[in-house]
Amino acid sequence: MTAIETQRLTRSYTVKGKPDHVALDKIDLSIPRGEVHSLLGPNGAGKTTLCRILSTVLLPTSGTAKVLGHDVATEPQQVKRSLGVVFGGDRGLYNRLTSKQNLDFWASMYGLGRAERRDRVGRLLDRVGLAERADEPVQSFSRGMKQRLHLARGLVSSPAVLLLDEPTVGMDPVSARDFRDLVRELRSDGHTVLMTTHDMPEAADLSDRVSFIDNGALALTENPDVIGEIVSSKERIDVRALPPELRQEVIRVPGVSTVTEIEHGLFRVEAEHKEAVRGVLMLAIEAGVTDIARSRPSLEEVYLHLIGRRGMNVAP
Amino acid sequence: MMRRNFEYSTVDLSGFGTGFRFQTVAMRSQSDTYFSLITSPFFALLYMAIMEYSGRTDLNTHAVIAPMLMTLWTAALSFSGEMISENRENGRLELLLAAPASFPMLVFGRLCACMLLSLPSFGMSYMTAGLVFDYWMPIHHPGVFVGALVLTALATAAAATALASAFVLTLGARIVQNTLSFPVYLLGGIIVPVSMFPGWLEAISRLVYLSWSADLLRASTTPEPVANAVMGFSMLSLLGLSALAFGLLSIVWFLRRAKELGTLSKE
Repeated sequence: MTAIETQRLTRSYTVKGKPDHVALDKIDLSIPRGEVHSLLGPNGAGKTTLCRILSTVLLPTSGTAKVLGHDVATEPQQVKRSLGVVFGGDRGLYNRLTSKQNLDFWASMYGLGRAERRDRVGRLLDRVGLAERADEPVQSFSRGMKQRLHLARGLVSSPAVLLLDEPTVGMDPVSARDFRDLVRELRSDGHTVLMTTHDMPEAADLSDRVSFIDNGALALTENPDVIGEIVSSKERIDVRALPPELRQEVIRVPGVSTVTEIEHGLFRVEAEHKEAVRGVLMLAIEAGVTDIARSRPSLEEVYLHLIGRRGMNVAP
Repeated sequence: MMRRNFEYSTVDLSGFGTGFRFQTVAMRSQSDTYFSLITSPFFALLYMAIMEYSGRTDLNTHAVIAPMLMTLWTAALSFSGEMISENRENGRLELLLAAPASFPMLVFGRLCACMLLSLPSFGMSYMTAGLVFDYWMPIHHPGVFVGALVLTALATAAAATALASAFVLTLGARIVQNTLSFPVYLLGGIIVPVSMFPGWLEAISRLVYLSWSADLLRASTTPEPVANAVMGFSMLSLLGLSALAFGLLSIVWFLRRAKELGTLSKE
C-alpha cells in the first residue's frame, strides 16, 4: 500500500502586482509503506511546502495528495490521525512548561487517554535521552535537546507516517547519530518516514530512496546506492600520493579512461570496467602505495549535477 | 481552489478538555497570566471612592462588581489575542492544526480555564471595598449570584473565542485589544446600568451579554426578589451560545481561508 501519494500536486501563491509564485509544480510522488524517503533541494525549492500540504495545514491549488489513501484536502481528520509532524528548528514547544508537560499536552491533542499518555510520555522521554530532565522547563534546554523533544513530540501518537522537516538542524553529532538510529528503528517497526534535509551523508545513510526537488519540480527519485550512475557510470578509485611515473603506468592500463588530481595529492582514476580497476590496484600495491579507496559519485555530486551550484541564492 | 468539506464537522469535547487542562497547567507557570488581576483592586478603589465621596453609597455594589467584570473582559481580550499570535510566532500554530483535536474547541477550552480568574478578581474587589471602605457587599441571593457569575464567565470565554477567530487572519492583535475594552465596558452597563441609557442605546446594549450579567449580579445583592431573573439568565445563555457558535464557525472559516492563502505560519 502507498503511504504517500501525490498526483500533479501544485501550489501557487498570489503575489500582488506580480505573476503567481509557483511553489510546487505538478509533483508526482509515490512512497510505499515502510520506506524512508528523503527530499533534497535548495532553500525555497518546495520541500517545506510539500510537507505543509501533507500535514493538512496548507491546501493545494490543484492536484491531489494522499496519506494512507486519505486525501489531505477532503479527509484531513483521517490524515492527521495517521501522521506525525516534526517541523525543523527548536520552535514549536511551550518553553515555560516541562518536557513532560509538553509531551502530555501533545499526546492529549492526539486523543490519548490519561494512562496511555503517562506510559507513552515516559517511554519517549527515555528514548530521546531526556528522562532525567522530564520535570525541567523547556526554556532551560539546549537547541539539540529541544530538537530531541520535538522528535518525541512527533512520535507521541505512534504515527504510521512521520514527516520530518530538517530534523537534525542544530543537533550535535552525538544527537544526530542517535537520531539516525531512531529512524532506523522506526523503519524496522514499519513506519514510513518522509524527511527533508540538506545533509547528504545523512540522506544517503538513512534513505531507501531520495528525491531531488528544485523550483517546485521533482527532478529525480532514485535509490541512493544507484543514483551515482546519473553522474558517472564508470568505476572510480581514489589514490593518494601517486608518483608521476606510476601515474603514467596507470593511464596505460587498458580500460583506464582518466587520471585526475581532484585535490592536492589525491588522484581519481576512472575506469571502464572492473578488470581495469584490478590492474590499477596491482600496480599501486606493487609500488607500495596503499592509501587507496574505491569511490562512487556521492549524493552531493549528484545534487550539484542536478540542481547546480546556486550558492547562497534561493529559488526565484 | 477546489471545494472541500469542513474540517471539524462535529463538536470535539476532547479538544475542549485538552485546552482546559493545558491552560490550568500553563497558568501555574506563567505569572503574567495574573497581570489582568492587578487592575481589579485599583478600579474597586477608584469607584468606591467616587461613590463614597459623592454620597451615593447605594451604588457601592456597582463599585464592587464592575472591577470583576472589567477584569474578565480584559483577560478575555488579552488571552484571545495572545493565544493565536503567540502560537503563530513560536511556530506552534501549524503543529496544533496538524493534530486531530479540534482547534476551535481547544481555544474555547483554554479561554474557559482563563475565566477561572473571575474568582480571585471578585475576591480582590470585594476585599478592597471591605478593608479600605468597610463596605462588605451583601449577597442576598447567592444562587443567582453564582449562576450569573458562572454563565458570565462562560459567555466571556465564548465571546473571546469569537474574537480569537479574527486573529487567525490578522497578524496584529493589539489594536483590536485596545479598541474593544472601553466601548464594551460602557455598552455592557458595567458601571452605569443600561436602563439609564437613551432607548436606542439601551436596545443596542441589550445585545451585549455583559449588560444582563451586570443586572443579575447587582440584583443578587439586594434583599428584594430578583426581577426578571429567568429573562436575564435566558438572555445571558442565548447571547453566550450565539457568541460560541459564531466563534467556532468563524475559526473554522478563517482557518480554511488561511490554509488557502498560506498565511498560517509566520516566517
